Amino acid sequence: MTRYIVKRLVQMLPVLLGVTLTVFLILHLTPGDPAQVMLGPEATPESIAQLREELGLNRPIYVQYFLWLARVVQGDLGRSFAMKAPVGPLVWERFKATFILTVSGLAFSTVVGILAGLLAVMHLNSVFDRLVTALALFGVSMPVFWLGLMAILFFSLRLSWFPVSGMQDPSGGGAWDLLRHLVLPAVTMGTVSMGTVARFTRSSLLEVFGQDFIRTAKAKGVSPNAVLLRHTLRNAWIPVVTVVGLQLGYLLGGAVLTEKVFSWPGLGSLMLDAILQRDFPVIQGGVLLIAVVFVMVNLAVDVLYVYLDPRIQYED
Amino acid sequence: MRIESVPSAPLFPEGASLLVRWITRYWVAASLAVMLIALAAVVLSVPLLPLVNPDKINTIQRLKPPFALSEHPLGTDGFGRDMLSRLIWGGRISLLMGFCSAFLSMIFGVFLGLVAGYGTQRIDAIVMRLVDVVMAFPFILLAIALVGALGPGLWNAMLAIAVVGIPQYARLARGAILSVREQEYVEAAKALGASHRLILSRHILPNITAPIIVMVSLDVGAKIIATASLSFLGLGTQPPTADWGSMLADGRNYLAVAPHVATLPGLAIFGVALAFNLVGDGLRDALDPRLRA
Repeated sequence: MTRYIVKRLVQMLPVLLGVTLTVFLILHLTPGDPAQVMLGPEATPESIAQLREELGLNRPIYVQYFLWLARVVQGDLGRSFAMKAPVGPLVWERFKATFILTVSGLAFSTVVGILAGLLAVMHLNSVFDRLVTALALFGVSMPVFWLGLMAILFFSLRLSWFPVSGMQDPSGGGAWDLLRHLVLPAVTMGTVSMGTVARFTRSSLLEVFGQDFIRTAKAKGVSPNAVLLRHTLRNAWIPVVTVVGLQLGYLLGGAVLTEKVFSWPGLGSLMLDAILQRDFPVIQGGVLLIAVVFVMVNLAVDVLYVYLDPRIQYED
Repeated sequence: MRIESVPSAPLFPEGASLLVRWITRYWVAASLAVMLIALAAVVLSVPLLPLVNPDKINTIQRLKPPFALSEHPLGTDGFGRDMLSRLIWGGRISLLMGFCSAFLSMIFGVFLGLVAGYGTQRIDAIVMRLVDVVMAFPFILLAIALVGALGPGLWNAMLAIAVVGIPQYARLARGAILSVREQEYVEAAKALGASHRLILSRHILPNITAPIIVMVSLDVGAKIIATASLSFLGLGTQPPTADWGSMLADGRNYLAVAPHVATLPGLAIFGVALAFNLVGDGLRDALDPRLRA
């Protein structure tokens, strides 16, 4: 297993290189000069040229890319053009906020989604079962930013149960304060993907239900609930874990919309501002971090398969 | 020996009878399809409708709730503009963006899929690795980066959403082609000396059309949400032009005092996306039962 993980980690490198190179090319080969954006429309050609020189933007693209890559290898993501601060700590601080939000949203969608899928199978073809199918359809049709606004309208403005926005009160606050701020954005994020998890759980359970060992268990007189919980569920985890892993990547990347609605100080909103200001180092650093997490999650999901189903073995 | 044509497998083998069967069996999807066509007709003929100018500002009548004034049945926004008029004009833009971006993704994606699936293994490997790299990006962030590079605006937002949607069509088309190219009728056409162009246009493309139609019908709803997301972030249509995403972003400022300004465009996006997904589900069940959930 260790050799397999090392092999996968090595295979990650070309993917990450591809991602960084693509972002680099998109940023540098499309119109929009960061120096021009930073100095504004009144800037003179001389001042723009001087700033380009200072930022290193007048070098050939491949030189800029390799210099950036060389620094990244040493753990330095460069300095933000706009904020004049090192990108590493800036991106990491915002990433922590996004990670808290994403993992909370995913935890909500996973727990509720799996429970809903399980209950749908226990009451197959009932109204509840149909509701679960409808929930999945509602999830993919629901704009997350609208759901967020409606949540603010009802639960913050009308009922005053939760704060309207932000991650913590300006006066500071502990874990309880963070939790109060977290509930609405996390539930909003999780609701959109909850239906997908429920639908996958349902279809995965139904697939396992049709197998011989389930028929044998039933023939031996095992109670229906024990068949479901002890025999079916543990064999139905693989597709569910796969879709939950994919949802994490999806939620992490799509967090920008939820962050914007709830003014959550995460990586998504930092990246949005950086893109609009053409702050290249922040964009590159942020994308690299998200890509690393994305491929690590995929690897973690693959490793988890072995523990969930001992029949799965990877060749070293 | 070269031949001009060999019989191809038709898309709808039973023609009109299949359509009738689909309508009776999937009546929900069929009625929603009719409603979407009617909606498209309304938004396309919007210049002919007796609507108030959607950009006309009236600060005296700002933030009026629905049904408060007879001349503004759905109320007014923060600038006193008529919500009904803006919703219909905005629907024109939102539907146009959704349709065009899905169509562009489909054209380029299917072309790439054809090149990868019908070309040599080397071409296939190159195209699919490119597709993998694009798919490794978070969808919305890549779209934001592209709009950031091209500049905010209606067409650039549409183009960005179209570009990030290309890989899924390329994957779908390639997969379908890999299975169709091994079929006996393709082998027969090759043996009869049919040209690659003829094989692709008469035998392969018609037989991969069904999953692509299903994908497009499911994708238009997703594209409407995606383009509205960019407009919500201020990267899509620019003021004063209305589209559902930018109307929602405006409504955010008046959520406490006039919730209808944010609620109505959100409902419109949700309703239309839901309708497209239901129609897509119905089409999928009819055209490609193997994919049935």
